[in-house]
Amino acid sequence: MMSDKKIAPILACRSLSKHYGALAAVDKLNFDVRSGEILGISGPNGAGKTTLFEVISGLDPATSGEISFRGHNIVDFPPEQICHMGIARTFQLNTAFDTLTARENVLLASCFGHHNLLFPGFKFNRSALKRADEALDLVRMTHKRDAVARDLPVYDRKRLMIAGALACEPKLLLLDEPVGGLDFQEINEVIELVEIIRHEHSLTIILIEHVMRFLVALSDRVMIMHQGKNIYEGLPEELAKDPTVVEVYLGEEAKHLKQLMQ
Amino acid sequence: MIDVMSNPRSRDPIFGGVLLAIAIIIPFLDPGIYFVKQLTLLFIWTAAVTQWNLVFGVAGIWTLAHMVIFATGGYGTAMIGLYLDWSLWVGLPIAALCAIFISYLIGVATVRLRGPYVAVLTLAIAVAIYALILSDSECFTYDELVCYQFSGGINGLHRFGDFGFKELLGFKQRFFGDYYLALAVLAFGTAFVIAVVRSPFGLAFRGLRDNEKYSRSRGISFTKYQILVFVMSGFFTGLAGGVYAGFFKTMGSSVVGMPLLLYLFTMMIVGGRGYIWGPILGCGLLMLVDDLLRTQAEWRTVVFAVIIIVVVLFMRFGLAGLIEQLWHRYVVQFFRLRREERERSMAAK
Amino acid sequence: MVCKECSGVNTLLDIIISGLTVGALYAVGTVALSVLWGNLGMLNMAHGAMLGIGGYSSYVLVNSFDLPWWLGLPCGMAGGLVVGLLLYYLIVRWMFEKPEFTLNIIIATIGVALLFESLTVNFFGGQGQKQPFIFEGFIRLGKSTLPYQTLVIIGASVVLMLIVGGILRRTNMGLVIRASAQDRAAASLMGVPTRKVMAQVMALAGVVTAVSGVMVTSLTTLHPSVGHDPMLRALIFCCVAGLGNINGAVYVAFALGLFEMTIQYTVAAQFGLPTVLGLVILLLIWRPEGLFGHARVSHS
Repeated sequence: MMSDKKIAPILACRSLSKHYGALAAVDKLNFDVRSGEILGISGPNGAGKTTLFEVISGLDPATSGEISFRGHNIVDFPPEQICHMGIARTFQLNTAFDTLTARENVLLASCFGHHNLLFPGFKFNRSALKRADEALDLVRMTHKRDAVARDLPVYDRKRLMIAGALACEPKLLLLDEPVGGLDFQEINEVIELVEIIRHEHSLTIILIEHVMRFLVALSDRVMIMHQGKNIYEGLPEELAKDPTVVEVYLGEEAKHLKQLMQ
Repeated sequence: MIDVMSNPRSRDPIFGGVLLAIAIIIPFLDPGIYFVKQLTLLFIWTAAVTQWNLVFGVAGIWTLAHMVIFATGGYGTAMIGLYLDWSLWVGLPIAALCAIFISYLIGVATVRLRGPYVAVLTLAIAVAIYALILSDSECFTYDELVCYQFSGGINGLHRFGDFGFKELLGFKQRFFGDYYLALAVLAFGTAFVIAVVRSPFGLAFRGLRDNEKYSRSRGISFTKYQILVFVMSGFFTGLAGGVYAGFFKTMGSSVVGMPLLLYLFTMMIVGGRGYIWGPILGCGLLMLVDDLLRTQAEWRTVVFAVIIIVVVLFMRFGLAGLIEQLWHRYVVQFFRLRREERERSMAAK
Repeated sequence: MVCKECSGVNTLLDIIISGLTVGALYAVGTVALSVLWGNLGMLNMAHGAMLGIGGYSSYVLVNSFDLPWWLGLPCGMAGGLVVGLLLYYLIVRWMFEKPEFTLNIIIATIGVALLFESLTVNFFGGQGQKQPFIFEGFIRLGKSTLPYQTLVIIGASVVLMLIVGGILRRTNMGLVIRASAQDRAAASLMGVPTRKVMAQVMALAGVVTAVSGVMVTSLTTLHPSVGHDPMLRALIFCCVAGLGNINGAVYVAFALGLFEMTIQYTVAAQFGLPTVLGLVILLLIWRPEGLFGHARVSHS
């Protein structure tokens, strides 16, 4: 039987805002993320989803509000520190270190992203090497480890980003549109990958995605953003029934979604 | 064999070892004093550019103030010899340490800037230092009614001593001393750069070069590693400057002047920025061109200019990049095909 | 030289006159660089060479064809136009859409600058020539003199900047230039052929820089490396003002021109440049985004 005691969420945003001049990309956002869950975030373009990730990961400072991660307010922390505290993310544009090999891409993350490395030294730490190889293996790219990232196709680069994030051994993983532009089979593989990640590493995951199939298959809870605000937070099954969501975002998609849920 | 051929880890030391062996032997083949002196200068410039390449090419920081660090080593060595009357062998490491400090300052000054802004700021620093040296007209010391400025001013610093090779090695072989000293600075400097590039440091520098935002989100602090790469490249640059001072027995503002900066910049680009062997290839080629055009000095700069334009249009990765491509396409493929053939014939038996 | 015999008013007047002159020269030189660099991402290290070409075009064409001296300016502009277009068609066009354009164009234009300078030295020798477009004569203002050339320079600079400003505000090309300051990809999505616009912009930059060259060489001798100093200043003024801010660059040019003249008159001639540089270095360290610029988000 589940205890009634309220467990503190791993991530909590309170009145979080990000303004660009007069535009409020994120507008007094409030939400929690429970430890071990997968929270899916979706919404129309320009809703502020990626901006939210930018703010949480520290790459773009918040205008106001609070972000509490494992008890610390990380709103003013630099991105390196946030990474060391246990948040790792992937990016919407398939980002990689273009002149580095796949292995080096992940090794960089495992070496510098895992903890604050005061003195890097001239040799690579054995546990860093091991973490990198394991992460690469998990995304099934070990056979391409010596390929230069610039030459890799989109799907490989996306997997590489995920491997890099994992090599940091984060507590919270932020995935920004991980399957954008992928075909049916590739999307299935990524779904499988995320499920393996979730079961084998005790991770909390927040993912942004437009591809409904992906979002619904993985998320325990879903949040819909619109114009920087949180317009829906709840179970994926209820998503298609919420009138605001349907009006603002789903439109025709709502029928498709209902079919998916049945 | 293919592993050696295609793996940079084993390729680099072998290549470097071969070059070093050749360089060590050359003076004994009696090539003439002119050639030995030219090579010494080649070693000095290459040593400086190798360190510059670490900051510019590997870490992606577009600094144009590198020769200020070189000059610190040179002027420091000269001034310690001139004003404190210490041996250049003592002044050299001290000046190199000063060079590290100046390098650190430049790193700190540029830490909030990116890309071309760094180039402009560091250019301003270089030109300012050049102008300051030239504008130094106050007499620091007098010697029979001849006025000497503290920094040497327009005339430069002279008579601060040298490395004493005439006494150590004899008159005939005195230039061998400078030659091997310069070679040592180049060899150790290159070995250092190789070690750095292959190390976690190198990974951080290359990551910041490729994508600063991504690097920061993977735990790399831009400020820390920018300053670090400047500091790390300072020592051997300062040494090279000091060796220059002792070799030429004179130190002038030309080391921070535009013509030399452009010359060395060309070496770095033509050789291939970001590549370990780039500077050596670039310097070698340009000094060869320099030598071939010795009789037609007016066309020297024209040829350099054309080389730069051609390289940046058609060979963006420089000589080192081109050689790397060709190496992979022909040599590595050749050995791979040979191995596959061997395996096939063995399986057939 | 420190003016020991001058009275205070005279020196002040002298400083203002020379400061405005020098500021005007710098401002014109800076405008072309600012448009290319701030708005189109092209740091043109051949700027100084283009300036020199303006001066040499005037000199060569006027002397070779025995033209009246006042045709020196249009000749210079013609030379600048040709150079701008050549630079586009031979170099910029091939590099514009390829990766790492920013660094590669810097290197390429360094090459072009070196080429121009070395060829000029070979054909004209390193010593100075007299560029023909010069207004002789001056007005007396107390103990100071105000050469007509100075008035021409200041006047021409103001006119030129008004014209460029008008182009930026009123024409299609100007619209694209201003839009490109934000995002080149977006500008090309607008359906405007960025290639054609780039050629036009380079032609314009060539003409403007050539005018600046003619002006500069009317005060100093014409020699191969005459463009070095103006280019260095243009670079730092753009940075200090903040890239993309053309008006800001003009203000900075005038302000630092006056500052440099003040130092030259009150302290010593040779400290003018180092002091300006020192000030610029401090400014860039203190405000990396430039005085009028916006804090830039560090992009990849």
